[in-house]
Amino acid sequence: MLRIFIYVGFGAVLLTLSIACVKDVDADQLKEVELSPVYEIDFIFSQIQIPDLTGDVPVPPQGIPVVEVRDTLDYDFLGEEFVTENLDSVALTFEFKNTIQRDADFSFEFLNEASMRVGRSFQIEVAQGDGENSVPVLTTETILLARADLTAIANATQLATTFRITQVDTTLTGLLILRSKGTYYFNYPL
Amino acid sequence: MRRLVTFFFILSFCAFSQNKPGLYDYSDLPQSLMSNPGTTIEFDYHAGVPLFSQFHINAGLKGGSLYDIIADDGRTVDEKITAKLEELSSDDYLTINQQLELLSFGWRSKKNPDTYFSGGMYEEFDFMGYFPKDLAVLAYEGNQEYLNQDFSFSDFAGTAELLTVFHFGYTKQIDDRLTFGARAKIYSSMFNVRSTKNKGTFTTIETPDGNNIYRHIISDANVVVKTSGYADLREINDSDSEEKAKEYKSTLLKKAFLGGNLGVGIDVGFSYKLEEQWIVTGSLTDFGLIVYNKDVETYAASGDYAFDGFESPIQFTGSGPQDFLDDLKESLSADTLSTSYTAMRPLKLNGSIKHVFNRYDDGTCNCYVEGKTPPYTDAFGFQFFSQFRPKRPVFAGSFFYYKRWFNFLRTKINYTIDEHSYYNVGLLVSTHFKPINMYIAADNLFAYSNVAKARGASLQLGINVVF
Repeated sequence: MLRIFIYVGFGAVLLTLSIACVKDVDADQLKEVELSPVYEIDFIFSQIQIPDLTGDVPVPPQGIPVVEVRDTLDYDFLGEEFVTENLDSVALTFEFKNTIQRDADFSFEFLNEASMRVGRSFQIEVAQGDGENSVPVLTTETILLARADLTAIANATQLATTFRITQVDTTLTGLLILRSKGTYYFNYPL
Repeated sequence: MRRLVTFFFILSFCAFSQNKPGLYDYSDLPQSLMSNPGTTIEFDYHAGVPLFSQFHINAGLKGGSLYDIIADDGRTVDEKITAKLEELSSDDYLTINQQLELLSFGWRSKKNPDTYFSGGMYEEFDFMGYFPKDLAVLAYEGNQEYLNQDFSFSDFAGTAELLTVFHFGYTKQIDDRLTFGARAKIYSSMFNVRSTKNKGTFTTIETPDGNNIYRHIISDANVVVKTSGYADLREINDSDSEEKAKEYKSTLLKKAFLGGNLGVGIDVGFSYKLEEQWIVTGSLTDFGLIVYNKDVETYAASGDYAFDGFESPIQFTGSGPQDFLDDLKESLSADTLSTSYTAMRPLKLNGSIKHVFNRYDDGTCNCYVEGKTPPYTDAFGFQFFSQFRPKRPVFAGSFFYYKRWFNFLRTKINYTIDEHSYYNVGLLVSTHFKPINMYIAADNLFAYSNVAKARGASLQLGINVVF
């Protein structure tokens, strides 16, 4: 009799615990979990007016055949371990609004610590504008950096940008605005 | 009386979570004194079998279950995660509480038989982590679909603690109606990490007239993670040396035995007979704090920051080339501090009202010990539980039925409503063979048919010697 009651008592709880099971599930799915976030991050921006190009140097009557503005900035983001392992691609979108009556060449490239170019060099032609107070002429371009490009520039530490405008003279007016962003496509297991 | 019953009934509608519903006010077991030192008890001595007098574990997930993610239902795991991410809120959480009683003892005063002393020591691990919804969305989906929307840092909140508790309590039967009890506690914390009351937002806003296409803004950020006992652990992990690991184990042991960050606390409670067969009880446990001043590291970042991208090739603002990370660190004044801090223990409130009946004092049952006052063999009632957590208190309410089948076999069944489940049925069974008593209690019994669907589970078991 005593035993029966022991069995009834503890048995009720222990039975419940012992029949505990997991069903209708597939735990292997967890191995397939991949995070694919997409981040929108500003890239570079600038605003250029003619005096910015010529500086204090007087412009000769016949103009300056070519003015080139080059800048280098620290950019080692793509070398981070997490980025090199998990970044699938980057779409760099550029937007130029130009009212200067000249077209322009914009180029950029990635440099390593020795200031040597790594990976491709990129160039965008910016359409000429119609002068100050005119409706800006819009030029847009998207450059896709695929996995191979990203691998090539993984050891980049600097970003070099260049604006090149031809035949700059005192009659030119207006403004060239550059805005850009990067769309970063990541993909990594949980 | 009617008012009291109504009060408890109303409480049941806002009650959602529970700790040890089986053991509360289960006066046949000495462990009931741990949730209410004012429990009316009949025994004269007790001693828990060291390390085996109580093992307790409670885990709960509010907002979902493992089944929601790994169900074999034809959907891809990513589809299920996306759906769950949409459904969860920063109010959802995961909680785990585990206790192991190392020592438990008690005796009735010879000079004053109305007084019972009890003491002991137990180890406790307590974790409470809120679902950082915004940060999870940012990590899982990115910011592309959430332009102009704030990602809040306040979603990031949680605590974890490993500690030892030394306690000594006093239970006094004041008169035929009232029993009062109090327990003093000394906490010795081995490990603590807590991050609460964070604030600030990260937003990517579209700026058609701005410098660039977007502006990324960290606004009014104040994120603090306080730790103690972590720096030692990290050092060992970094050094990867066996000697260091041994050293850490020894340090941990010292911390467990009053060498850790110390704190004090009290429990108080009562039982009161409203009428001969109606009893109300109440308790407040772990009203205390711990001062963390050993092996402390606090990580803090606060401030504002805005990023438009890199200005190049011409800096019309006249500023030099930017270093994004340096600027960010400078603006957010990120620091690692060693300043001490104090934290309250998670306060718990319990209460119950019960009706006792069926007293077989005519000798028709063997449900009581000869020579002692025949007890009521049945009781039903309602009990509630509340625990203070970093963001807000959690609640639970239980209807229960207690049955003393025989002197050696007693049970309590409870139906609990909490944040994890509306279908939580639990059972406690205790056997009492002379001085040896064993008990086992489990909650959410229906969930055991498919544990993956369970949103909470609780288990207590142990062996005592009780006279």
